[in-house]
Amino acid sequence: MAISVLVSLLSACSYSESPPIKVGILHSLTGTMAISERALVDALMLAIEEVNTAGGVLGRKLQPIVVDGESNWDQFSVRAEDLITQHQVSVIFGCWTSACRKAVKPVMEKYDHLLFYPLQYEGMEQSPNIVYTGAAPNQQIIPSVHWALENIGKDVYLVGSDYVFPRTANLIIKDLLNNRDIKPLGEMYLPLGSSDVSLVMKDILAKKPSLIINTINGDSNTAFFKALPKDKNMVVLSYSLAEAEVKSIGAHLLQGHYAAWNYFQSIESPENIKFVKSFKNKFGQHRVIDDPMEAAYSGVHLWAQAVKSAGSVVPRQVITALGYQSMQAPHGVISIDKQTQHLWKTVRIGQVMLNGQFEIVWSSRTAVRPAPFPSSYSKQEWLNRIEAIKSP
Amino acid sequence: MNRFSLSAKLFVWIFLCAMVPVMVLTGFYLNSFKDVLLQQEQEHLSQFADKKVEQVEVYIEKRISDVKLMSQLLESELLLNALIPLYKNSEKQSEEYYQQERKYRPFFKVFEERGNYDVFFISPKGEIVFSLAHESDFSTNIYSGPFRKSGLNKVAQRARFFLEASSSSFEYYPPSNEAAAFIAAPVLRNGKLLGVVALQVDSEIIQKITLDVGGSLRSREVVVASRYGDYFSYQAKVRYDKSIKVGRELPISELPYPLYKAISGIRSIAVEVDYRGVKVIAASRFLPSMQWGMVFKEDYDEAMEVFDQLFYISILVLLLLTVGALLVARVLGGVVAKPLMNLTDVTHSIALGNMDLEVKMEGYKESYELAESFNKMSARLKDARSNLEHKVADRTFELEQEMKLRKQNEQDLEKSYLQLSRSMLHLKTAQDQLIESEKMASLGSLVAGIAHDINTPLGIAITSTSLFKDNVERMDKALKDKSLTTGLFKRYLQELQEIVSLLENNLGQTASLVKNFKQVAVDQTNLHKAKFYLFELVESLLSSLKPETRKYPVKIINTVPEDIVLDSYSGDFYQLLTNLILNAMIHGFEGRKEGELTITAMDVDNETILKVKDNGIGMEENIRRKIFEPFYTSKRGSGGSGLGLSIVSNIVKQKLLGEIDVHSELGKGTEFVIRFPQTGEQL
Repeated sequence: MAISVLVSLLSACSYSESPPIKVGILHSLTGTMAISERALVDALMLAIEEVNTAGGVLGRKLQPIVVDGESNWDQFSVRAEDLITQHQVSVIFGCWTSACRKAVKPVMEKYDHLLFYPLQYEGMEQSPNIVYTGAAPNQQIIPSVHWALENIGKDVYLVGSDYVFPRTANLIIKDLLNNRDIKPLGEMYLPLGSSDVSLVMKDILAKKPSLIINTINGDSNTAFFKALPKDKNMVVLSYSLAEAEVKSIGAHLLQGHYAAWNYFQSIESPENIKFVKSFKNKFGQHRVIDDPMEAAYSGVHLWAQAVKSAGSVVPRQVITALGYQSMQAPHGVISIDKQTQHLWKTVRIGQVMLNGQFEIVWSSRTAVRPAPFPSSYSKQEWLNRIEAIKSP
Repeated sequence: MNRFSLSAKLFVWIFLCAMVPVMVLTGFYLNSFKDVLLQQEQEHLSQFADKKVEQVEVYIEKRISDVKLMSQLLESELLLNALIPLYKNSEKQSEEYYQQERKYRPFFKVFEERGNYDVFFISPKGEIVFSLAHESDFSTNIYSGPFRKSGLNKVAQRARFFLEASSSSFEYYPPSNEAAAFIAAPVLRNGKLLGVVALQVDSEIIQKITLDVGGSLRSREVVVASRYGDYFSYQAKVRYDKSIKVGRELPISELPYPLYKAISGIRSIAVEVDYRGVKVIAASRFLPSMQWGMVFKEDYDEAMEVFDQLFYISILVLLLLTVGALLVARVLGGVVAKPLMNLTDVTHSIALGNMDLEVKMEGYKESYELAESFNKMSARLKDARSNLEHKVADRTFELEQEMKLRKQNEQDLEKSYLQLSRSMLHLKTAQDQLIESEKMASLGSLVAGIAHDINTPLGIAITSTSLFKDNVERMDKALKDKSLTTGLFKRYLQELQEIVSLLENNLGQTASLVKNFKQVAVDQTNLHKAKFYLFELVESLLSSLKPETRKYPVKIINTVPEDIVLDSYSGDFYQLLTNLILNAMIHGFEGRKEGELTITAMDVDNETILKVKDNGIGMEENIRRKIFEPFYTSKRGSGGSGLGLSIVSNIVKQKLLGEIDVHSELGKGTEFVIRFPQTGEQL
């Protein structure tokens, strides 16, 4: 009896004394990216709160350490190092742009640490220290291009912002078009942040494409859609345009156009209904939720699950345990592909409705294996091709 | 009396002190052991499940690698380039086709040996232009032909449009008459699709993988299933239900919970119920490559068999220990109790009066000493008992004697008490008589005094009367003799006048005496209450007492205020004052040539104080204290009755309801102070 009392006392002591697990959140709270990234911080906070409410992990609570990347990639790199060396965080959830990820990646690899990157991206990357919870090209671009060619039209016009994601995306898209013997009517790039769309618009109006594949990022989208005439025969499929952007641009301007994502707020699964409700209850009923937020949110839960499996918060051990982790995320069953550290994700295409939400018009039904390097070329071939488009 | 035997008590104590802690600890350890065992089993199973997931994933990845490798082989390009133009949309192909086909067949046979059921090449239009197995699917169009709903179509389409290698899950595939999964990759040349290469995964291989469960537990099993909307199907044979067909669609409601969790992507390890309804430890996992749910499970009972064995062994050991405790208690109890039981027998005999028994001295040191002491004690008890009987008889006799004596005494006491009360009655009567006779005696002496006083004037009166008679006869003779002359007549007349005057005086004195005496005598016996002046009472008393008081050289002064009126019994006052005055005369001035006695009185607050004070010889303290006692007298020999002052005291206390006090100082005098209520009602 005495022994059992002693044992329970000891265990009680060890539980109450266990310090929280520090979790780094590295996003832009200031600067041009803040408006997008702040929503991700909210989604991360909700997930952390949920994990803590469920008892934390390994008997410890999660303690978020939020730092500001200031929309500056060098700053992101410095902050990532701060989080690892000074704050001694066990994991970092962060970054939006590929440039940011590429700035932080060496730091993660230097310390053999762990970053959860929540955005859909161009692929062509595979770091052992990054878990990519957004879509790889084959989980967003490739299926949706096929769908659009089959369902919208084959007179394709490519328009994007001038940086690595749109250019790589278009490289892949052009492969797909080439396979079908389709030559795009035009391919134009706007400088990042530019709102001067007159040149592009002139070209488009001249060529009258039935399908515009849009990889424009940021504010340029507003200008682009404002300038685009309402024409049923000119439909846009966008890859960087989610509920948040629809809200800021105006649903009336986007109504009828399409976007490809893994997640839409309108998904009617019990998991998503619960997720949306929790988020709105915590941050306000007016808030909208989009794909990157869901990916960030799911990342926290996957990480917590892996920590439980590993019985440790040491990044290397967690990374090992992450392979084949799966869960029921709001958008469907997701699993981590051990080889690529990308997620198996379900692909969806949605059409913008007047209420700012998307009507899901197509879904891959099951999760699609991530292929950061599409198998049409070998990894080295891809890297060479990317090099080539960077320095034409 | 609810008493237990020594053995029973010893058993209870041994049980409480040793067995209960052992049992509690055993229970505690068994319980922790069970928890640890279950946890260990779960961890074990989790690890196995993870390994199994990895095994399946690696297998599929390898197959994908195979397909990707094939897609990049020059032979694939050549095969497609060679066979597609020769291919005819019919079962029978041209000789040319078979020639070409035979060229490539051995090369791709290698892949079949690596665990693939079949290898296909599909033209961009969907024609299966090459098959190793040559089943009924060969030479059909997979996009539009009879097998367009198969997994092969799906992966081929993905390869065609997404330019991406992919896998399908196991579904029933009619050409092979079994479940089949397909993996396909595009064959590209300069980014252009030449065709699709596909593998049919050998379902036996998957079955082998799922059957390879490791560990020593017989009940361990891997169950895999996939879901399509509201239906699901098992993807490999299950061990315990032969009726379950691989790939057959079943409603989702029949999905066991662990499998449901697995298909939903939920990782878990828990004690659950499987498809048989048996309690199992189940690890739920999701297989992304196949989009399958996998449950790695083992029967709870078998996993916990070690615990059950330990539990039964523990119970057995505890039972044995209990029996052992019983035996030890019995033996110990017997050893300890035997001398005690002898002792008990002897004690019983002694209790029944048989004092001659002795306890046998035996057993261990303590019981030996106990027996010895007991024997000593019983011997002494025997002696003491006989002694006691004697003593009791003696004492009883003495007591009886004493009782008798006491009874006699009581009777005597009663008798003497009766006599005493009778004497008291006599005494009281005697006292009353004495008081009465004393009253009469004082009246008598008063009468004697009065008679003496009356005698003198009466004698003078009688003498005067004879003188008067002589004178009258002498005058008569002279008249008759005519010898009566005026002068003679005048002399006779003068003499007569003198005689009459003398007569008058002395008779008046006598009358006055009689009048006073009469007053005293009447008052003294007066029992009626009446108002009177105290001063006058004292005056008339002093006058009556004069014949007596004259004998003493004492001046009596009455200073009683003349206005004091009493409403009382005057006779009592006469008597008490007579007694006090005469007492003072007789005793107070012995040997004195002169003295004074003062009677005074005053009214103070409804009370009257009467004082009789002399300046005589006083008295000693011991006399003073006794003077109110009856029969006390210092003049017993000279005729004092000793009741005078006692009567005074009685009158004051009983009749006047007052108090009497006496102060005295030798050589200076004595003072009696009487206080009584002025209008006090008397009984």
